[in-house]
Amino acid sequence: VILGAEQWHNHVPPDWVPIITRDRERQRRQAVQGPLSDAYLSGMPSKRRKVVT
Amino acid sequence: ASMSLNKVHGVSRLIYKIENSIKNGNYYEAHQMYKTLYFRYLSQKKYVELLDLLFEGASLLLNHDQQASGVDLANLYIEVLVKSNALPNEEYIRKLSKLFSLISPGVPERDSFLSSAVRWSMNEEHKGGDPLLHQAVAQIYWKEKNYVMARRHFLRSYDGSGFGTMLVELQRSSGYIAEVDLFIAQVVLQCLCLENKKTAVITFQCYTTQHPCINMGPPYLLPLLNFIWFLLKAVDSGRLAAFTVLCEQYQLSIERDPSYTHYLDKIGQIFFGVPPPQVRPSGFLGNLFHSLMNGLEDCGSSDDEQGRSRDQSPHGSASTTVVDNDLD
Repeated sequence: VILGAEQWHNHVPPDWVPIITRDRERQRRQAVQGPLSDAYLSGMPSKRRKVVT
Repeated sequence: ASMSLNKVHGVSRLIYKIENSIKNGNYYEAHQMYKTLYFRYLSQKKYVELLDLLFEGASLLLNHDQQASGVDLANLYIEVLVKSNALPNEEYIRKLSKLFSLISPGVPERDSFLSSAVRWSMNEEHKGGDPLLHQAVAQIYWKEKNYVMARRHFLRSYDGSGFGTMLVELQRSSGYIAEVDLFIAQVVLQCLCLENKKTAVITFQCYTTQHPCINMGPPYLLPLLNFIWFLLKAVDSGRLAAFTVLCEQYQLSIERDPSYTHYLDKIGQIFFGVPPPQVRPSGFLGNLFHSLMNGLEDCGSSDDEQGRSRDQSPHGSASTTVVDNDLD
């Protein structure tokens, strides 16, 4: 990664840049989020839950 | 002097009678005598003695599984705290938590007891109620394996280490493998929305170090965990530019749960000075306009709007309303 090669590099601490760059690639390769478990959904306030399910 | 001695004697005789009634299983009688003493002390404004009496009485009845009369005295305990303008302290909170733990989970009045207690403990600094009370209640729910309610109260406590440990337990027992990062992200974002940064940080630390599926970091293998880790740092610095970069670069992770965007909007407003998305007209006419618009939206009856109007009505579940408001 060349620091400053992209605009956003200037707005975060330099040691974040390689991590964020790597994560950007990882996210692209990540599988699409499947259905969420009941245990997870029950952590949402009731209204939010309705929007998701 | 003899007069007051007589009174003291009268009270101790009554307490002796109460103890006997309970020994003999005459709970109704004991309850009635407690109420007699309650009215007497109340009229004399003997609040300290009255609180002791009600705590003793409520505990005794609840320990004998006299739920209805026990809850009645427990509610009076809160009423006296309110009437005497007692401020939250460790002793009161310990006693309220004790009473709460003695009320059976199935008893319908348990919720209203809890919301009265939380309401009593609210002040300028802790608008959602005293963190110590929330911690004690969260621990009790956790023991009962009521994770939903335990979560709600941990969010407003300062017990990040208890919260983190519970979340690991919950995630491993009932969550999907692919949700390892979502469970903690959800909690950190919600904590930040409630302006409880302290608990957000500690819960994140505990969860990521204790969860067996997260064996490295920071930085972590999972992008969402790095996002949360950076976000907590950005919140410290208050730098809007960094916050914006994070939200852009981690958009794919953020989109995994549609409510994250909503939380991040709120976090932007609280910690980074972002203005609210639409500024509503204020003042009397503004409110009138707003309520008219709400009325119109209700006719359209989208699920979300129905939910909103129901939660705002005084008939909604009291405890949910007290605790959930700021997250909706």
